Amino acid sequence: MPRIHSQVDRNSDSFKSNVAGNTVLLEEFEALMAKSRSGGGDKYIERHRKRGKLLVRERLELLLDRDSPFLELSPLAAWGQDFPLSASCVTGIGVVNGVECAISGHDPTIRGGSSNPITLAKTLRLQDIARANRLPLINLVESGGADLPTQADVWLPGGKWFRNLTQMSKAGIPTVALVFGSSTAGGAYVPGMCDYAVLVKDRSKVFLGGPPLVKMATGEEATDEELGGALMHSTVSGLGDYYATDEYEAIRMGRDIVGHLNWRKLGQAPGSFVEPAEDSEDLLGIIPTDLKKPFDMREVIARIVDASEFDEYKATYGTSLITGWATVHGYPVGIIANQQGVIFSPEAEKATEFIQLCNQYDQPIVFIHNVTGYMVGKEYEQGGIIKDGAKMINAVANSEVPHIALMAGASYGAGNYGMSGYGYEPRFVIGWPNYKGAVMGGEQLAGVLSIINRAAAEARGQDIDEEQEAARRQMIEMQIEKESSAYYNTGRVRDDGLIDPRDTRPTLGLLLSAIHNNEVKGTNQWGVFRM
Amino acid sequence: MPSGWRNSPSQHQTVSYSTTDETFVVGYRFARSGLHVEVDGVALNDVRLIKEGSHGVVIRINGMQTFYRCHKDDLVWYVSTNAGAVTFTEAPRFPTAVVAVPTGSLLAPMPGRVVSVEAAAGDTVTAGQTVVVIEAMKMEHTIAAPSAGILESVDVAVGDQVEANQILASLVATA
Amino acid sequence: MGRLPDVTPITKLLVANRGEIAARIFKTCKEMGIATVAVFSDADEEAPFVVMADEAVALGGNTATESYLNIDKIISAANRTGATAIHPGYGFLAENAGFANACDAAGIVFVGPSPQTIASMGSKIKAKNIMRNAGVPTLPTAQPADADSIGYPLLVKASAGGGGRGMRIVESPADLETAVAGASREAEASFGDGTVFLEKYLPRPRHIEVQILGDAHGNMTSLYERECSIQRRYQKIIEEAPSPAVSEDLRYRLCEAAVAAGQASGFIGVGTVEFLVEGNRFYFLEVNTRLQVEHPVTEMITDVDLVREQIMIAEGHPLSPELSDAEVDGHSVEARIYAEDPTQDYLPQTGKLIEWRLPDTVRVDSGVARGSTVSPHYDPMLAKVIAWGPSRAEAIRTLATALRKAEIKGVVTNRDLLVNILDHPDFKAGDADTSFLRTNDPAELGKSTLTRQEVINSAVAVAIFAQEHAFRLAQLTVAASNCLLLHH
Repeated sequence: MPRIHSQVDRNSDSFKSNVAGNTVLLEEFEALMAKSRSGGGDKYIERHRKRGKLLVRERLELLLDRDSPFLELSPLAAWGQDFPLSASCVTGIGVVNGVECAISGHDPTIRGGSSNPITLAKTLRLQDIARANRLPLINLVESGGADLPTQADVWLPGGKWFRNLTQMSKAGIPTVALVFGSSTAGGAYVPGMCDYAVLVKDRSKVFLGGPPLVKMATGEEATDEELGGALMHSTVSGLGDYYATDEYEAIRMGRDIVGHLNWRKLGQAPGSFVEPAEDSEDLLGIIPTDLKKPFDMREVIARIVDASEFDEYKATYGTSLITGWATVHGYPVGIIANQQGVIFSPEAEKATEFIQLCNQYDQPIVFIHNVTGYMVGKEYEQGGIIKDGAKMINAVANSEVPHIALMAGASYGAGNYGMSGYGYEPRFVIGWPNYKGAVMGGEQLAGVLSIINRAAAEARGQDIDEEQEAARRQMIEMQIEKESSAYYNTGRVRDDGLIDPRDTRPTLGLLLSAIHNNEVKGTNQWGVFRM
Repeated sequence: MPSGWRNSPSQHQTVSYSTTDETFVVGYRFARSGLHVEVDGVALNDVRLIKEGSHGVVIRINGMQTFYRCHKDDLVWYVSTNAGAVTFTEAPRFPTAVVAVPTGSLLAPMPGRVVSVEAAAGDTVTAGQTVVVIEAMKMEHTIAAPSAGILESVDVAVGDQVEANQILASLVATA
Repeated sequence: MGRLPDVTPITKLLVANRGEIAARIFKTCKEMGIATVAVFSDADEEAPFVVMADEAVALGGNTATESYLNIDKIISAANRTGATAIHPGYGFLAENAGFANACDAAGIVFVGPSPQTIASMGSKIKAKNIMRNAGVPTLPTAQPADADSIGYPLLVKASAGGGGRGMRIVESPADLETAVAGASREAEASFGDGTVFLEKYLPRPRHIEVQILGDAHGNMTSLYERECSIQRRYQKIIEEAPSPAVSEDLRYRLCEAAVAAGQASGFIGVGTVEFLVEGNRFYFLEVNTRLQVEHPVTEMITDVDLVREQIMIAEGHPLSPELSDAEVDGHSVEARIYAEDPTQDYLPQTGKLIEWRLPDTVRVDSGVARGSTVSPHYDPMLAKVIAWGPSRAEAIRTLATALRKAEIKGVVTNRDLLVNILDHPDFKAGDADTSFLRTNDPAELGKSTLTRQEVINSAVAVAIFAQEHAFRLAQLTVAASNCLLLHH
């Protein structure tokens, strides 16, 4: 395969200023990541430890195979909202007893591990990932249930949580609940719906109603242990499948359960590979902090793919978009990347063909976003840009090979759709901390609104207050900028998490490996292509 | 893929090794900035993995470069250097919980009828010695002392009907 | 030149022994073109010495009585293989007159002295009387009833003893009776002979022995002394030659006494006369009528192959003239690696050697190899490590460095104790006497030669190695499991 030879000049001013700018951006990102790991603060962590309990990340680390990688998903969920950063839970993909699993764990140091609407969104997203990629799901349970002040936004959509569990079971995807503490009311259905429930002596409490509720409901006096203790469930009710004497044993049992699943990945095994010839550190000098400046996607690809080798398809046609094949950690992939932001008709056609080819040969596709949209203007409309864009969207929407969207820069308007954005249900959406996504750029959107305003005012025969208009325009621009930021989107679980650009290769490798737990198969059935 | 890779690292990988005198908890993490190592929570300066092989590693710690030849036999590690050797026992990742010997109450495993009482309160019994026999569903079930001890009480008599989990006798274990 | 002596070449030699000494003898046989036969117990069936021999005969059983002490089985093995000679090594049947007799009766050459010599030197009381009559200085002895004639402290010894068994130090008359009874019981159990006697006890003597060789033609010579003062419970663990405590004059007198002792006992073969030395005075201890464990240090400084000499003497050769011309060249130190834990009262250790590697800067006479199982059936000595140097300090340095670097894994050994002794100022100064391991705590001396920081660094290295190793394994199993673990 041909190798990409980097043209990057590490001594150039732009490289150096990009490094400086990205370093600042990544410091901000790292600070948020650190905050997301900090749980409910020292006081609650101390209290939790005093009870002889492990923190959720300690449980997670013990569950994982030693030295194996783990990709945390949506670490910055709830950013910019009234809920704690990370949304009181940890989710991710890791290796348990040699098997890649989707893992979710409540953080009981944050408001008792209760579920708010973002917790729910994050948990449901993990379930979707587990289902789509056929990953056994392990729940590390210790939660006080729904966050009562926001119950209205949790209760109805929350039903899906349990429905998913049993549907996964039906689909032959194992579900495991390791119950370290409370799992009450609706939460009781987590061990209830899972294939395996491990309960911890004197710790697990699984009941529909606790002593006060029972007293209210029926007048019966009952203790926690009688209603939902681990021993009761393991010897009387039979809800508990494994009775652990402590948390360590529960985790070991969880690992043993995965060990006996006789798990076989359905996708192909990766081939051998060599690391990229180009250094991923350079990415900080390649990616501009100002998204208006385009950057060379071949330089990015050279730092992501095996041996920096990339077999480019139609390199000289539709050059605003790059298509081609490579392998990442030994997994073959097709790559579609925006080189100059705009998609013209040739680019749309090229992408359509490429997506069909990848489906023909069962190759997952990585979409690298830096797209400002489909080209507008008389020439292009008359040239059929809608028809060509529709072809591309048709291909993306009906493609059945797994897609991974990497939000590298801008992702505006229908360009996001054509590049298999969030709404197109790619298997994973991973973003760099500086990506932006919206219907269009803030400045453009404010400008468009301003033009419409002026036209309306003129139609009404009113004068424009220029000062007021400028302020209004600026306010809109700021709002759009904020709402299109990576943090805003990741905070609402509209992606699967932000990563340091230098972590792109390991992240893609992990995701591709996870994807191959399921069958990777393309299609040759498409919607009607406009010609 | 770096060993133990995390996009959001929260802690080191840890493992604990004991000599006959002392235990060391070693934490390590491979990060973009290099290998981070701590022992008993104290960070070591400048640790670098120079070379790895099937029988050992060359590691530089604070400038001192040493070839450590490592062999493992179950949970025992034998390390030798040119200066001498040391043997470590690795702590199992999931320590077996200390299960208290279930002394105390001897319970009926299922509902049934007492057909024989073979020891009396105050008797000294050995582990495994039959105390009570009950018959249930045409089968005889022997309830034996779980450990050596002295019977504090025998709470049933021949012919008694017992419930599941009913206490049949109480035992005070002897050390 | 007189007439040619009557020489009968040995064509095939059976070694009635095991471990390092069997391997040692086979090596010389190979050089001499003599075919070799090993005999082995069930426990030793995979031992290196068995593989080394041209032929090997299974004796069966695990205990020494069933195998290496079973005279009938061994003679039968020699007959079956057509071995014309038997070398007994040391220990087991090496000083058993009955065995030497049995060999004679079967027409097999016994590589060693006559049964009569073995018998007379085997009894300590008899041997002493012979030496006293020959003018060799001996420690005063007495029967248990005559303790006062030699005074206290005194030593109770088994007449048939060796290796420290059946020995008691008695400081005052009050303790005598118990000590005599205990020693007698132990002697009875160990040697089947409960006879004990008393001997003047020297609290801090040196143990120095002289190598002697005697042929069937009446020639007798010595090959200088060996210093064997570093002992744990009368078991030598470090030996050297020459002794740092022996002056030229003392050396001359010791060698002369040793030759006199050999002549007095009619000794033919390769043997050793042991002495206790205090200052310039020495006392006869005993004659060992066989090859000593520590014979290599003599070989290293004289360039004589003592096993070859033994065989040649047995074949009827006169001593070669080079022997009497041999001069001391440099210095040699030997350390015995035992599978025992000095920090736990020398508790013998068993197990499988998962690694066994020593530098090639030293001579290693080893009975084990990587993968060998150390069984509880025999002496826990695994190997002897022997260094040579132009000076004593250099020989010690080479030996200590080699032992430090040695990879001995899977079984606890006394290696660290040996290194720490070699590093000890008293030993380095040549001042260590037989009290060394009583006055220095073996539990302390037996500790790791690494500093605490080195131990910590080793723990770090293990952790890093373990994760690297896990990756390697994961890579091997990638085709089967094909998950995230694979990459590196």
